[in-house]
Amino acid sequence: MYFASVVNSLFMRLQLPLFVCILISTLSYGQEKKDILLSTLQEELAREMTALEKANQPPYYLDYRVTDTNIISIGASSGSLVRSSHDRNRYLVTRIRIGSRQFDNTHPINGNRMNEGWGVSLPLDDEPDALHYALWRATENEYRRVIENYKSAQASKSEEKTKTPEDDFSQEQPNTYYEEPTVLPSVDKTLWEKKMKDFSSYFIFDTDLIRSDLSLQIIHERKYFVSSEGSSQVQNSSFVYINISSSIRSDDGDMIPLHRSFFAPSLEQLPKDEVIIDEIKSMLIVLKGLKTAPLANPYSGPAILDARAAGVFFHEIFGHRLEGHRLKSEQDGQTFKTKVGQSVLPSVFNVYFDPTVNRFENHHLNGSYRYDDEGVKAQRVSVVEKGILKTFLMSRAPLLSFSKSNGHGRAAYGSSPVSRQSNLFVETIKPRTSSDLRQMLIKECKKQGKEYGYLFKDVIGGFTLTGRMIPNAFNIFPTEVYRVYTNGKPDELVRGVDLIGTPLAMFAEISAADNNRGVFTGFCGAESGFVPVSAVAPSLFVRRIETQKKPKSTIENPLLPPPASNRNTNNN
Amino acid sequence: MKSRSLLALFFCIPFVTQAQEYDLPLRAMKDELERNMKELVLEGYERPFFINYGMNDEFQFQATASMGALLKSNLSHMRTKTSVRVLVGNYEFNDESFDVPGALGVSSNMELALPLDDDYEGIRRSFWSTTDMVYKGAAKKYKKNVETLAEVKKDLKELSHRRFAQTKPCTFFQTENSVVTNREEMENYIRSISAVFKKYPTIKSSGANLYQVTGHYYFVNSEGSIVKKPMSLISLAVPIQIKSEKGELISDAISILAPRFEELPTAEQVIRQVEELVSSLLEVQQAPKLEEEYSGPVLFIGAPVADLFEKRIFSSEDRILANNSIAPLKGFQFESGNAGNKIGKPTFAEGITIKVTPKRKTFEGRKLLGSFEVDAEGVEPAEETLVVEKGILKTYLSDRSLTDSTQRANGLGLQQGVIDVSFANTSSLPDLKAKLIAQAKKEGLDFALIVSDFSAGQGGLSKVYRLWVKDGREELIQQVSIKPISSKDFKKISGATTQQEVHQWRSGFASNNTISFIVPAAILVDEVEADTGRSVSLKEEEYVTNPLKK
Repeated sequence: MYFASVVNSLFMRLQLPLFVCILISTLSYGQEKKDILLSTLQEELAREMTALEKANQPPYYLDYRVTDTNIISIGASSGSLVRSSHDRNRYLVTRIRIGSRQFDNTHPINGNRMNEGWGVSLPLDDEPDALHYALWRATENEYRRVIENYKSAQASKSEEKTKTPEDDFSQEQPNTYYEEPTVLPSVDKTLWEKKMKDFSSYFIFDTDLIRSDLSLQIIHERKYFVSSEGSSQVQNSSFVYINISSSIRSDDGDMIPLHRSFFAPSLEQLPKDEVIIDEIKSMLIVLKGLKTAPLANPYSGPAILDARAAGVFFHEIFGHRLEGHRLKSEQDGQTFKTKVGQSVLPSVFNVYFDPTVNRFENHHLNGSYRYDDEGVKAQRVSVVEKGILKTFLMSRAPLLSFSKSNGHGRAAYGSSPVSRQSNLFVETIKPRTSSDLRQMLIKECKKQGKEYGYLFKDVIGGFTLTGRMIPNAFNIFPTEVYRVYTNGKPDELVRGVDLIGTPLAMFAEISAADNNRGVFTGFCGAESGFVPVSAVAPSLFVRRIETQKKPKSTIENPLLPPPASNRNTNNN
Repeated sequence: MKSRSLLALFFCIPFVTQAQEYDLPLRAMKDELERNMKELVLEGYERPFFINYGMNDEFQFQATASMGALLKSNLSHMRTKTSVRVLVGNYEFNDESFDVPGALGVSSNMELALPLDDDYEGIRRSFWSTTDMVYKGAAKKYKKNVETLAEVKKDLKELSHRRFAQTKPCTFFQTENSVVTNREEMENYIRSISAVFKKYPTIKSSGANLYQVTGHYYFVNSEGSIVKKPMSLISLAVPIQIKSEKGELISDAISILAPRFEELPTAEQVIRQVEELVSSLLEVQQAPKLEEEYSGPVLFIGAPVADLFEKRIFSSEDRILANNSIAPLKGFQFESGNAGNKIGKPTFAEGITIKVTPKRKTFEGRKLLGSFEVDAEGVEPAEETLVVEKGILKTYLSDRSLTDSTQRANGLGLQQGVIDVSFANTSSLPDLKAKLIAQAKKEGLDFALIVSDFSAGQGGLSKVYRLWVKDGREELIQQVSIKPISSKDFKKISGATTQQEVHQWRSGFASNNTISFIVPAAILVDEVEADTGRSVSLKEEEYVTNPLKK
């Protein structure tokens, strides 16, 4: 699993604000019939189900999920425009289930769940013959594949059903929902190309900077879902994402990266240019500090995780271990499988996931949606209340004690859904102030005989391993880390630190949280591709964390100064 | 319609020019190259003696359609550095002269992408970053080569090594409008062609693909070469695959190249070609099979002739494209690709003459798409290079990197453009067929094979005929697999038609490189092996009826 603010553009998307969806849906009654793609999906699905009923192995379930994306992508690097594209794609994922909900073609064999459908391109034009033909080809291919899977599963049914006694597919209520197609707002590409170049040009005047990349992505997405159970949903989403990354060379040749990002549902809702420029200027200051910052040595001791770092920390070490489908796998560590009803965090903590909200204070959230990728209505799921584990994030892959989905079956286009995180919220019922946390850090450092503790101010992402064959560990990638001294010396920026550990040991060390929640917005990559997520968390005081040295990327000084510094050349 | 050439300048003589005379990318490349030649030095190492920069500035349009609807349509503008070459040492012995093992630890973290717009400083920055990286590697490599040479204690002349050819600086400047303005028209074109398959719901895979590249290639070097040349090519591919009732696949494709969209056949004309090819494939599907392996004479007609010569010239064990590999100095001695120097020796059937005429623009009124004036290294090839004369090899096709004292940089190693194959003694097609029968009779065969209408690059032989010895009847049979013809067997070409034809296709790695073959319309090869091999696939049940079978 990987959580990052830097991801491939193809995986970026977000729901439109809730009020827009409601407004559109109330106006759209009667327009649905004009949606040729929807009607073709419904017709072909009905035709296929009717025809396949006569097959030796008739399916008990079939769904089509189509993602129609429009992506504008602009990239600038060190003051130059290096990418400008506009692409449109339509991807279809077909899922077919043979057998019964209790035992079907997806049943795990030797603890590994059988694969479901992969994506294929669908015609971009609303041309019914071409659409029917493409859907038929995809269904034929998928049906051939799942028959083989079902035969494999059946061949070892008695043994496998004992190993994995849970049902394979949950029973859910069908849902219908329709949003009118949105008129894509016109984008002044020339203006945005210039803006990105201008933003990027702030990085070319410092010869210590190695390279700086900025990207703007404007994505409009229209998702279709129809199933043989009667579900039919069409929902729109859009988002805009600016990512800024730069690296500076330290005196010893170490390449030190720093990242910033902005996210909004539309161009208009992005921060003003001045705000972005201020952020770039602040990046340059931090980068300059990092250039001469000391290289940190491995450390074990007290630390504060600032809100954004705490959000990633919870997403990696906690959130991934609550994803229900993992608990069906015998290969997974199943950290929390038997801990429902038990204390897993200090009693002052609540944790929930809520894809139904799209804002937190003045922040837009990235993990919002109305229906998940299995057609189940999005729900708020309270996973931890006062430190007690209550439930898991569920797709339509049931567990013995949790037989229903709670609207967290998610996938990138081209992949089949599994249970994934949405908007993660961590809160404390006993908040402390930031200053309290600092005092607690200093006090604990003294108690442990440490000269300093660490403040993890910002991170770019992280990953966690949940399997049994390898250490069940996590790694968070901080980009801005300070030493907080016990003797009153000013905080000192350091470089080359990764935050590592194992989950249960780390949870036991979380002592307090403050009243200032921050938001990390990014994309999470796992089995079903990259999905947009957010993490809202307070800053945390942790009695003991562990760090290791980052892998070093060394780079030599260029022999000549960059040509931009020779302003007297003949640039007319 | 695109506007034609706006300006063309061409001098391949020593020529002093002002960078300001050219457009901005060339000026930026030239200025940065000159700065690096003047100032670049790594302490303790030698300076570069040669630098060149190459850049492609291209618009690529790709569209795919199926059953009358677009599946994909992408238009992208790309600028890529095709070459940043920095040589340390001298023309005879430099960093590229030996292949010595071991990494030199050069980081690529500095690499900066090229700007898409005419950003003078951005282009310079991009070349600056790559030059720095390449030079550091080259300087270290040269030092290592010098040490290796000293260690070997042999004269350089005795050792297999690469030298860098000295060539005349070249100035070539030509500009064309390359902006794609007819995207919608091209999308409709591909849609309408693909819609023909609605009539053929049993065809297994069908669709139409259009790929267009327009733009310019830029090149400068420290010897004074300055090149800007347009690139413009469009290719249409319509692959067709039919499955027989027994599950056997038969495939072919319509494949058409043109310099620009306006010169492609109309959609109606292509649809007619598709319909003809489909009926031809259906006919082949019903034809009898070759029951056993065949060994004997084969008459090749049409594109298969060009395909045979392409394989012989570029891929065979004693190809005439110069081999760039050298024997390693130490350790295990690998076989090099060139089976010794064959210059002056008979390598083809007596009577075959091969000339490379890269600047030739037309053949019998047809445009030669491979035609070029200057290669990617800024070398101007001769109007005509005689490669094989009456079966005797005269020269290899070489770029500037030479591995043998007999090689000359003739500007034909990276692209060849137009290859003209002719025979001393020719005859008519009926005469060749008569000769084929006589040959088969002599070998005691009941029939001989005729292979025609091969779609190059698609891997199918759509039309193979048995020519019966007893009555001269031509019988269409199912596809066969022709085994590669060895260089030895290539000397056994016993006849060719007087009439020549042009066959051309994309070749090499560059997006717009095309090769044009002018070859006899048919040739008779005395010894060819063919087997019944065809792709077999299991019969697949159709669970649900194809929705187009209405």
